[in-house]
Amino acid sequence: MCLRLESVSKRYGEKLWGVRDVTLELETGVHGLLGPNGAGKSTLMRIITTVAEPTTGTVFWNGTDVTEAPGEVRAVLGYLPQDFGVYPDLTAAEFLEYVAALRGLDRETADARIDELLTLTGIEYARDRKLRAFSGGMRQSVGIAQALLNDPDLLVVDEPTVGLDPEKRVQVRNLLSSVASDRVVLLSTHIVPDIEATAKRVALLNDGELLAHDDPESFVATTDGTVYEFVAPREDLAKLRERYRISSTVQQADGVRVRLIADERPSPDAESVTPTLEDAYLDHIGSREGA
Amino acid sequence: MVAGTVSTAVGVARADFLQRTRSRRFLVVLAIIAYIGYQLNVGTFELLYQDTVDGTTVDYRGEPTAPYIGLTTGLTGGLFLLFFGYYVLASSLRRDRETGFDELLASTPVSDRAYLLGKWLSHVGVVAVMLTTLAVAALVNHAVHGVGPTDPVWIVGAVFLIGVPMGCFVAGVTLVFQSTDRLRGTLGNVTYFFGAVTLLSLVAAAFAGDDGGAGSISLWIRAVDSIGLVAAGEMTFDALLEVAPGYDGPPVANYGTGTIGGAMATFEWNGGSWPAWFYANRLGFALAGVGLALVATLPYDRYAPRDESADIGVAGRLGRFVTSVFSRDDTTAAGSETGEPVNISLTPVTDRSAGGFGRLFIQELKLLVRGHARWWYAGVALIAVVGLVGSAPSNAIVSIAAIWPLFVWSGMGYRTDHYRITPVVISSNQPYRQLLAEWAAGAVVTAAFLGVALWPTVLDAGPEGAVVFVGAVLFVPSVAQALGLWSRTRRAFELGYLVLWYAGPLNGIVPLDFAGATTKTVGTATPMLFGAVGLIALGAALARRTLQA
Repeated sequence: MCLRLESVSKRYGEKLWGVRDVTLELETGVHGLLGPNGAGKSTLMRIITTVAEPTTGTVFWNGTDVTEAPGEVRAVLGYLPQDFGVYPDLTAAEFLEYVAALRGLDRETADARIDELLTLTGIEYARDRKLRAFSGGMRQSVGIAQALLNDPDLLVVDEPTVGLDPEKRVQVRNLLSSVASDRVVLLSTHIVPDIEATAKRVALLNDGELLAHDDPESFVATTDGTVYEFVAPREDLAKLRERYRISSTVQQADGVRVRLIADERPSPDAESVTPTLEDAYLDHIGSREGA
Repeated sequence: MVAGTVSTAVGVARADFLQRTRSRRFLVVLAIIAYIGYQLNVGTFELLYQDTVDGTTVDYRGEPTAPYIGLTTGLTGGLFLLFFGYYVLASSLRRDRETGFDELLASTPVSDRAYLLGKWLSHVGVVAVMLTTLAVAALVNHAVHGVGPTDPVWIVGAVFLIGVPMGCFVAGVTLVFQSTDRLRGTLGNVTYFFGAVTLLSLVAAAFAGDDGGAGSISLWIRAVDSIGLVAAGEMTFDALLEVAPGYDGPPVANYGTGTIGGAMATFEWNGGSWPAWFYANRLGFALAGVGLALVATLPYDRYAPRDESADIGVAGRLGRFVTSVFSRDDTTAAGSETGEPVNISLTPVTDRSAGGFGRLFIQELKLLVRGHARWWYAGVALIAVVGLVGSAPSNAIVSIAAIWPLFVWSGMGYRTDHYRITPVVISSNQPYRQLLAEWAAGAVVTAAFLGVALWPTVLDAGPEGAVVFVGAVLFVPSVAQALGLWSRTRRAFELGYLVLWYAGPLNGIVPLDFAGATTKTVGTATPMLFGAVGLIALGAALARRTLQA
């Protein structure tokens, strides 16, 4: 299984580009799509799922041009859009039956998978409740369930853990990892630890352009030796924010423990630490903005 | 305090005005208005005095001088705002609810009064833009097509004198309806339509068969002269008498396109003073608009739950209690929500092209008929009983059966977008099948309603009666779906359908009677024409889906 994007661009109006000249090849496993707001992640996902057409470029699924033959990818696609909606007057089970019919499942398989997925996403107790009574997190669980209904070969999930509590978030991460062994999973999120925990490769988008597509280790390795931690006086924090990209801060009795990215040791007390994906992400985006 | 309220209201109005006037839909509205301005100058719409001379209906219309064009343009603007203004303006509060802005607002110190006054000001601003467009279009077109000098004061003045107070009034009514739970949706759209018809009909009804001249107009008729028909009559009546001294028709001009097959005569009117009472009338409508905006603060509830099911009433709460007694304990069940990760193996999918049209159809049918108010279901039961018994007059039962499912039809086509389901549908391998399933569900509902009402006609008239039934079943759901898909709102269908239903099935105008309310429709080409329009609309819906997919 292989999803390949060749020089894909999407332009809105005369000057605004959603994505620009993105070339990418995704094989089985979880691929994390990272980038700041407005980077073009959702646009790229809409193109891959055939909801939007690229202005230029082509998307291939197993060698078939999906712009020409969208049915090829739709038949094997599971999709959780970022702005996922439900019909409030249907129950969870009815809504999933509806999506199962849309995805072309036979009744027997649909019924079995609806039961299983409601259990897997932890909302089986609410299967016969109307969706208008669901909380945001429960609706998101329905969204995840509907995306997995047809046992998709290509699973595209846009911000799947938004609105979920930490425990549910971990469950969804585990679920995505477990289903990814024999399918292509594209996961877009702002929550870097979600990608860190699941993705075998990371694609970084910024301002519509693909900055990097690599495995997390190599991606993180580019930040080796540039991440430091130390305790700084509180009054110095503003100055540090001006000079460096701050990865995190933790309030302590003796000041603020600062984790930052710097080309040189920022303070005699600063210790060089092992970078994380979040550090690497900030480093890449920060360098780009500074450029 | 007052200054603070006004300042806040202006801030709300400015943001709302910018949001609305920057939409493409608003540009379409302005384009339609500009086109109306053209049509006025080429004589498509006229201010007509009607009389019968030797058995022939004679329509008297004015020469297109600047004052006459100003007057007819003003009347048109007023009429447009009275009938369509509500539907143009109504999206403002709904947008705030849908985008969640209302929750943000609820957490601020902005008072309901300042917020609604701001919305009212924004409404009036939008109305002013529409009237300016109409006035400019009328000015330009008069310069090209009109008679005599183009007088901007007369044209622009008339448009604003008639239009602005009507806009103020409609803006106030809109806020009251949009602030009231039960009037926010289809019921409000229907109620408003009948309210507008009633307001306009008051003037016509008062003059039915009257030939007593303009001097006999009572105070209350002047007070409810919503679009200036009475004022226009007072101003132009003498000019009419100069060319038709024996005129004995109503002293107030009608408004329309003229009588088919009637004679036409013209009179020349070069302007005059507006009657003093009309300024008071306009001030009254404007002030009523402000008053209604303030009245809207009473039903408006900034803390209203977004989830409509929370307001379930006594019967609903009783139902929940009974359900809670006889169903599993949610608290216990919720334990599985927070419990250990579940290990479960999923049933493999071997066939992703197994159809499912029947299941789609069932769910689409549920979507159409669920979620309505109890009184609506009671009405359905009543229509079913009265219709099946077959004792009610055909025109009455068919008319009612043709309007009651408006609540069902108007959701078609629009629902997938409204509930943000479109990406899921488009990215599935059944994007067209969903459309057809929705259409089939709509057709079944239409067939059920019209079936119980039309069965005596079908039995009596045989195949010709069946053609009426089939034509209606093809027409209504197709047009509803196409308009919902293309306009992405339910109001386009609701308004268009209401106008058609009012003229056709309710008033028995045979060429517009798509439902066969009058037996005269049977055997004419009307049912086949509406059936053909339905098929075209179905094609338009499929075309829209092709563009989406």
